[in-house]
Amino acid sequence: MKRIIAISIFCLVESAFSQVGIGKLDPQAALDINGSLLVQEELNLGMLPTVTNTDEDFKLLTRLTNSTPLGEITVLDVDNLSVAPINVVNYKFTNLSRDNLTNVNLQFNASKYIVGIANFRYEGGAIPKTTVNGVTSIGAFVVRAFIEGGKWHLEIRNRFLDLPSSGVERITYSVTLIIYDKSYFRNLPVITTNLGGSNTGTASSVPNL
Amino acid sequence: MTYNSPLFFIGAMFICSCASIYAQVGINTTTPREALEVAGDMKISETITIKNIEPLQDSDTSTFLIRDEADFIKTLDVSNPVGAALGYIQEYVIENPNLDWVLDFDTRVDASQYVMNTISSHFNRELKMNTVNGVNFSIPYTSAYIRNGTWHIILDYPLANNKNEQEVGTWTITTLIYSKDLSKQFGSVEILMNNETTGSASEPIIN
Amino acid sequence: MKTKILYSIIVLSLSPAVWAQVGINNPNPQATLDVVGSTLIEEKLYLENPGNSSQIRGAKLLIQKTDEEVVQYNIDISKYGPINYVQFIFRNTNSRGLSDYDTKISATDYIVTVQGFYFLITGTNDTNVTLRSTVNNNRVEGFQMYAYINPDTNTWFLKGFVNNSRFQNNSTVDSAIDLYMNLIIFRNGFIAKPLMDVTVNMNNSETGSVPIPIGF
Repeated sequence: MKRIIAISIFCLVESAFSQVGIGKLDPQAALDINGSLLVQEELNLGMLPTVTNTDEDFKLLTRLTNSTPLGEITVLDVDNLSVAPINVVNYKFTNLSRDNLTNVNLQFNASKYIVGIANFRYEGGAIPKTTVNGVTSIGAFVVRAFIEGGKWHLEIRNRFLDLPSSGVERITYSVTLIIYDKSYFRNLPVITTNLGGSNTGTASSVPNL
Repeated sequence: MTYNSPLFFIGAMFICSCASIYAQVGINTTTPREALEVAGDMKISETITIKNIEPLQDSDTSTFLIRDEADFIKTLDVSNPVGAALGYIQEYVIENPNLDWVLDFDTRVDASQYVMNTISSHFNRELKMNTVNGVNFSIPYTSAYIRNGTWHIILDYPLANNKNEQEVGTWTITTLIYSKDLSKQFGSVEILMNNETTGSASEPIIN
Repeated sequence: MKTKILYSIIVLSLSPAVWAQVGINNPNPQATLDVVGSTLIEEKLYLENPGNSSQIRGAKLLIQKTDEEVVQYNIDISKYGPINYVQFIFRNTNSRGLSDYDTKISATDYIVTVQGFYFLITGTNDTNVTLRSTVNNNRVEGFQMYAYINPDTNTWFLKGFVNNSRFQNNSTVDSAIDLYMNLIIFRNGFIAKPLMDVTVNMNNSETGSVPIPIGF
């Protein structure tokens, strides 16, 4: 009898309050917690506003897998990180051997990062063509990032022709490298297609995205 | 009945003051680890405000968070080898084009769902000029572009060919593909240069 | 009196374990804790095991705005995406190329990069475009296709030209071109950040190593 009365009171008291405070006497919301909330299983939010077209400088929410307790809600603030999901670095190469940046080790670990090339500036003198038996070669000017020995490397040069060693302005290469953190990106298998000598064609397969 | 009034009063007092005596409250748990711990699931019909959201540190491991179509908050683990990623690295090896010329390579990637951009490319053969007396020179270009709803790739040293036409050449191109949930497409913008070398936008396309 | 007080406390401790579901403003809770109304958490939120979604398509990422409110991100509504793509087509560009173009895009808010380009004879689909060096026709000049920050306007400018050269058509006559440039634009501070510029002195060598930025 006494127990039942006590429970009923608990219910009565509960529904009497339109706002409940945990660890505080003047709750400012239906549920106001003066401390942290830990939900063991699913959280369902019935109402969540959407970003507007004037909002800016917002940050992505993240959930830690290494916190105690597990699952602390945090925010991705790239200014607080040494390595952001995408990192943009301007590189300038000076004092080259002729036009040849044959193999520069950028030292980014290929298991952790993807390196891409954007922007390109070649400042400096021109490379002479060669004509042999009526065939005029322009060499092959290449700008590429590639993986060697588990690291990212860079090649920028004309592979078959060279800048003269003197009498022509020296070359400076400027390039922007975009370093992608691989934990956010996925490498797909290479797709090889033979065009059979045609300048048009369709990829042999479509990536599974 | 004589118990009712004093017991109600005392009960209410204790519930109010007990809330401040208890450092932590548990629902379905007698060992709450935080101010409120729910040993089960939770539903909130209106808004949630979280006053203390710390920034990620370099040493942290984490996932993103999404709200799914049933209003549940779920993690989005983009580092998982299967499932979603922010973007995909797709390398194409294009063998035996028309000498060095790839005018239109259809990747068949849906341009309404994805953005594709090229991050590195090169051709593996020496080139000669295909002009009269070999005059002029050519520079290599690479681009992904949209045609008929899919992403295509153009690769060329214009008016240049493999120096040794018997040698089959290969273009190797690495692309980055982003889903439209993470990439906003602003389309193609026509800029009339009127045979000039300089120009200026009246307004930026992105503000 | 003491007996009564003790009894009340015991009941209160027991009662949470008795209830399978608790409602706030809700006589019919559908979850372990079902709140009808808003929730304010003065400290942190921990979601120990919320479940994983493998689907990015159609899911709305959660973001925190500068006023600390948590909202859902919708890239179609938002002013910008983490990654933004646009193709600029410079129609009828002079045969000297694009020496400067002010995009008016803020250098504080965005990082603009050129990732891909090609060119055609203006107004056509003709790919037969070569370059002629004005210095000497026996040479291959270098090219410059890039975005840079103009410090006077703090906006991004574009350049797209070949050193000392003119674009020419199939008859080796100077021709205006249509220059197609792919721009990938990152919102600064969202998921992308610029790091410090790196200058590498190759010391007249064809190979070498470059130090990586701190933390990589």
